[in-house]
Amino acid sequence: MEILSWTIQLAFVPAMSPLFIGIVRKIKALMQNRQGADIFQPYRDLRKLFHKDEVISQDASWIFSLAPYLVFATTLIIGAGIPIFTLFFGSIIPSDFLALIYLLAFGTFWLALSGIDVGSSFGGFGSSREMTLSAIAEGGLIFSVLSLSILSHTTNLFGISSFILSLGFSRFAIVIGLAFFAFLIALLAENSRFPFDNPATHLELTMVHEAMILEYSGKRLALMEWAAANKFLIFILLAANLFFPWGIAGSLGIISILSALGILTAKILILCAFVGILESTIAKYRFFRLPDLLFTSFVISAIVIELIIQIQ
Amino acid sequence: MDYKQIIEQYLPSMSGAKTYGNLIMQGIPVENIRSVINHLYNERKLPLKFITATDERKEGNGFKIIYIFGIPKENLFLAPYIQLKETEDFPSLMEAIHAAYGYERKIKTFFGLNPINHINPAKMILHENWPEGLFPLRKDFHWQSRPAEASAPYVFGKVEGEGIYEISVGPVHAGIIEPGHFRFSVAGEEIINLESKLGYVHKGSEKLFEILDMNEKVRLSERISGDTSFTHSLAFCQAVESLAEIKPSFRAKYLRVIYSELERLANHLNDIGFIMLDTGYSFGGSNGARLREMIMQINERLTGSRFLRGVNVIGGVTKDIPPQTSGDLLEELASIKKDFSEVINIVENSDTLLNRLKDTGKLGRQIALDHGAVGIAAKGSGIQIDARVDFPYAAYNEINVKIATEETNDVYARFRVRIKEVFSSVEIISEALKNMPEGELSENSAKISLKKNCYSVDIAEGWRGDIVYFVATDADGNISRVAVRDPSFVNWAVVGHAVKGNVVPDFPLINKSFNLSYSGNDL
Amino acid sequence: MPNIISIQFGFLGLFISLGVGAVGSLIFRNNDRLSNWWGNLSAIAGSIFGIISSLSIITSGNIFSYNIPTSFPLLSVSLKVDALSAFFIFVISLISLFASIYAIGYVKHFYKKYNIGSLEFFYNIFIAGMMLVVSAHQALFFLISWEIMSAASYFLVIFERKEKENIKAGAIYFIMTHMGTAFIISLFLILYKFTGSFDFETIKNSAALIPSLALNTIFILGLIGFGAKAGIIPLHIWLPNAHPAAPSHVSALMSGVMIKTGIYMLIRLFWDMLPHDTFWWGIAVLIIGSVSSILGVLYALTEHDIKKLLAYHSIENIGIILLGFGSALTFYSLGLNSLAILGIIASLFHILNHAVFKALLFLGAGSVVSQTHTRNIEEYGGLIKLMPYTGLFFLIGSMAISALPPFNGFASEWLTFQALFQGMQTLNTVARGVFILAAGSLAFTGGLAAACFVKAFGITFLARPRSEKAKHAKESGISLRIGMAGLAILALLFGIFSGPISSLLSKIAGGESPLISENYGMQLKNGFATVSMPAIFIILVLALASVVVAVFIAAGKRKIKNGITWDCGSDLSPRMEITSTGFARSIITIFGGILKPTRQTDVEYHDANMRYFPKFKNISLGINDVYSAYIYGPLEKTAEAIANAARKIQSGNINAYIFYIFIVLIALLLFAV
Repeated sequence: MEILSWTIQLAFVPAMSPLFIGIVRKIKALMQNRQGADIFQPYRDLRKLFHKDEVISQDASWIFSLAPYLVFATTLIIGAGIPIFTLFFGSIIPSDFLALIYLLAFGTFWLALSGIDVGSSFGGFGSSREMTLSAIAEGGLIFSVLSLSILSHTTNLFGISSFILSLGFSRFAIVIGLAFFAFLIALLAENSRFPFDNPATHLELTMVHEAMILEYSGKRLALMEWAAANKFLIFILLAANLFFPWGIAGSLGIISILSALGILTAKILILCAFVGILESTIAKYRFFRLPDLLFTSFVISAIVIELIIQIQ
Repeated sequence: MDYKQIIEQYLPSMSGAKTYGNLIMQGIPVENIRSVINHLYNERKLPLKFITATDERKEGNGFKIIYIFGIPKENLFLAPYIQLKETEDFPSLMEAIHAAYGYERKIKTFFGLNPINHINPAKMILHENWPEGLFPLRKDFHWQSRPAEASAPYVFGKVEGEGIYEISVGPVHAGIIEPGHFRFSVAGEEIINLESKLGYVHKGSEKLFEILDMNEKVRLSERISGDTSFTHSLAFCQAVESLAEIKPSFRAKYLRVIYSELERLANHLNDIGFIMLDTGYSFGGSNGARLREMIMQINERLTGSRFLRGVNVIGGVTKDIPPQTSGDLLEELASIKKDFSEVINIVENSDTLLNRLKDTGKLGRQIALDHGAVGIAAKGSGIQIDARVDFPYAAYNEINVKIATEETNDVYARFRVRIKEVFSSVEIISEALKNMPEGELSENSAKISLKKNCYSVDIAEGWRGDIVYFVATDADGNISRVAVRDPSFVNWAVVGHAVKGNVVPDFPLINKSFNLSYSGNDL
Repeated sequence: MPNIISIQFGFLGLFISLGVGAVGSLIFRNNDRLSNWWGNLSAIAGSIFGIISSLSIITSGNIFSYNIPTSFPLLSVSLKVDALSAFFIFVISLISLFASIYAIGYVKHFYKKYNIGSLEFFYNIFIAGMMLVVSAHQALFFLISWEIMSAASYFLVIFERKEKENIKAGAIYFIMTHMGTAFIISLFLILYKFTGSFDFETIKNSAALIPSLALNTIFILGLIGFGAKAGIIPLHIWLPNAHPAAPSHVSALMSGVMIKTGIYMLIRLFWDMLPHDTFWWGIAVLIIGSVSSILGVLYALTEHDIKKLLAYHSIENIGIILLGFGSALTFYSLGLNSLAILGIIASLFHILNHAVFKALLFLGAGSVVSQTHTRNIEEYGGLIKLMPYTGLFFLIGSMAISALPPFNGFASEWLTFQALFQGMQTLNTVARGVFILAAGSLAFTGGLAAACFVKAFGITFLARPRSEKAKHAKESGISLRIGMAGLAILALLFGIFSGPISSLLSKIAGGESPLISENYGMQLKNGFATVSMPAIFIILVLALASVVVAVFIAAGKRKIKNGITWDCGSDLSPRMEITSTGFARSIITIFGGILKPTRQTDVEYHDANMRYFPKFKNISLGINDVYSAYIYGPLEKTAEAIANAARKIQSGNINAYIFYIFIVLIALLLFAV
């Protein structure tokens, strides 16, 4: 039982992330009255990419070659270090939210470098936009999780999850909701979703994330795309399990694990549906309107922290 | 039409003025051309429609450079021209009239005539691999000749300044769009300058017009700009009909109006969808595509061609709309109009979308006027210009057409112009269907004979803007020159001005709001 | 067990090596090569003595004292090296060691152009001065050491005197440092007035005698005086000019170590010697820290001179250090002593870490500048292929300063964050608000610093060269590489072993540590947070290795083809690569209210009336210099006005002067009576 649980904990994010990306795309297609591709299509795409040869620019250096491995590795680590379906691992996995956020920053750093490494203007402005948005989103991201952390008196993500679970529906519900809203903005920013970036666009001049990986091909492109999918699922899992941890298993009993996985899937699907519907009903924001949104996320979180301390 | 009065009003003297149908041409000595043009453009405020050239050296007339002005209310064209017999230089007008910049460069590239005092008489449309000294539209250049490739460097304008860098997009794009090269000079995200290099789909159409037989010529005119097939061939057929003195029946004229408006509908619906899609608003994008598809299917049912190809012939049309179909068509259009209104209602309430469209890509009115912008680009900047009203052709003189303009000069203005024109097109088609008289579809002429040594100019309002065709015949009654002016040729010049000061991610949106034809520009 | 004698021997060795180095360089000044080796080897020897001695003091808890009165009244050569001073001596020695190793190869670039002997003379004096500053135990002796340090560094700043801007930078530096010194002198005078002594020990023991008004005044004077040396905003204007002007290994010392001496005195005075339970002190320091860190990183983003960029980052990191110190003061005034220690630990750790990675970055920058002969990032590009080692070491420095785990920058920022997080939970509303703002500024600073270093590293080393200068660079010599490599390895090691280091630092801070470090991790006693740096490092390596292996198994047989970067069908030119200004312009626009960006357009048209055809267009992008406009400009004008008015007294007329003497005599007589 333990081995199975460990396997799920370590492999859930990389194994399931393409599926949930496929589901988001399917929802967007249905909203546009299209059939859309099958929800398992991203797996086939990854497989196809792993079978292709690569072309690497002569201008690129070892940074370009190493970056996809590093970026993917960081998503694996973070994916294994967050609460997914059970709180049992809380005492074993050292899961400090600052460490995880800065590991994400590590991945973003290398991603941005790889965009500059090829010397094309697309990669250059892609990196510029990504670092700009990421720098300003950091405030909201850290503070929204911090607010929960202050509420739970711990920075360990499993600890936060367990504390919020024990709260039930309490007088903190509204502030948790506000913190969730702030976190949601950071989620959309860090994963290059609407209104920050359009993941399905073909217009190079408007891209943020896609522009940085424009030069990648073959297995390295597969790693970068997979890493982006992993990052998306990680944020969704954090949103689901930190702010609304109900249903998460406390132990390793088979029944609690199965029900936890079921409830988790439902929560993830709701969040995926939200992202899909959002992307189908609004337009992308103007680039210089985005920082306002991110600063709003930061300010809301700061207010939430003050409120939490007052209410406690 | 009192030609005498017209000539007295506009031209310096009676001598040498010749009338060809609705076209009055007069030879002007080279030294006087500047003042004549100045008089017509600045003082009489006539719109300059086209500047083109012909090679008549075989007839002993040297090269002619023809300046075509339109006289809107009179429905006439006035074309002073200069003859270059001994020389290959001519005075450039670009400093006084900006629209002349592009026309004169094209004349230089294809005829080898030098505009004196032109700032940048470099090759246009033909690229740096085309050898110097070879001018394709001259009569002594055989249409099948293959010159050796030259290699000269192509120098783009440079904006100096530390930290300014260039973004270069195209000609190969990530999406399925026409090829064109854009070089931006940017400061971070703000566009300082845009230089475009087109000509990647130059097909040698103007030369080909001189070679093909008449049916093929009509087919070629449909391919100048694939999405404006009907209106292009309409303008061409009208020009030839005036040379052959054929008058199509009223029924044919009404049918031409209906088909032209159907084409306008399809393209506007498509554009409206794409503008929204370029902001990421997929709801609007998919609905625009859906509505356009409905029109395309109507087109196919009526004529067998989604793009209305093969419908225009010299003397009329080939496909009829019988009364039964007419009734169905009216119903279908009514339901499309209702559908479209619902979509627009939703779209106009989307703050995120409107925030992107408003205040983006402003094209100042004076800039548009100076460059002679036509069509949607002009209408979005408040300029009242529409060939259906200014030079009514086909059955437009009997149909009420309101010119749709907007005052805000931005992408939103051009978006709204298209919406207004959709509604107006549906009205026009309904009116035309109801009032269409009986008649022949086309004059049955086994052999069309054209007047000898004659010229004609005709215009039609394509969905982008007005299309001008200038046709000349030689001493045997064969067509010796067809000069095409697609609205995109004029409007490409203003895109660079509209993008200044905007951010790079807004460029695709601004470009789409103009939606100019690369193929129509390159010919 | 190192006993007191060997420590004495160590310090003796330290100062003798530096002294010998200084004197010898002067003697051998006519021989470039000899003075280079002599000066730098002595500095290396001195550093090694310093490291050993300071470590033994820290681990053993002994104190080294040395006190000789001199013939001057009130002045005695008085040194006392306790754990705090030893820590600073350790930092100074560590950086000097690697900087001197680097210098052996680096200084070769100055052969025949400038006098190496004088360089090495001032270099050794500079290091010695810094050592004396952090060990001085008597105010006058302190001031003399302070002056030695400042004067030596001034001469080093103007070393390359053929560049006019260096002279100007030196002048500003000279003025600012002496202005700061004026405040410091006033501070000591006030202390003397109330305690009757210049001796630090005496002052500490009689600190209770100082009335609170005087204490607050001393605090303000200290903040300004020592803050000017540390480079807090708005007293920072000398830093971005002076640090880049000096030779790079000296910049490394100035940025990495010298500015920390200001922090040292702040800690020494306001944590060790004087009572510090005044609430607003900590708040003031926190606010200054927040402002310095945000503004420092924003100004760094606007820079495209690589050394100025690094100098602004020093201002940012001083801000972060002050956040730790400020939280310590605040916690202490609220009675939360254990958390106060946490603040000091964070502060000290960041002092060490910043010294390591800032020095590493400056050495790397020096390597690049000496090969390309320009400091302008816009002319770099593609250097990673020509200078692979420098590139790797600069990359490590960039990752460290961006606080990416598992490097050392992350460890000390983590501790600073923890201190601030604890502060956000106190019951005092004002403190809470300030802590929230401080944590917010630290959060944004981290992200902006990463953006700045993606820019700095990316544009310097990656893609294609943007100028001829960048095309002809070559990798640096072996000594430069060893110098950088040592610091790079330390950046990683200090990160991995942050647990044991933080427990060592708690000994220095004195008092009960709020941290537990079992299994090499760092953990707060109240259970709020825990992190294990070695675990992160090992997991990262394992994850990377497994990904590489897995991908190799899955796709190893796929071929890799060499091609060109996607050019959309037309040619790529260097002008198409992103520029430093272009990269940062979005952030500058977003923070436009603070940075006030400017744009100047020069256009020449072909058609003057219509203006559609430009012949020539030049755009200059920049930012407004707020400090000159609003602070120093007016100050300068006022000073000039006063001086001009005062000039009227010197009329040149003998009769007037006799009159003045007469007046003064009458006044004195009256007063005497």
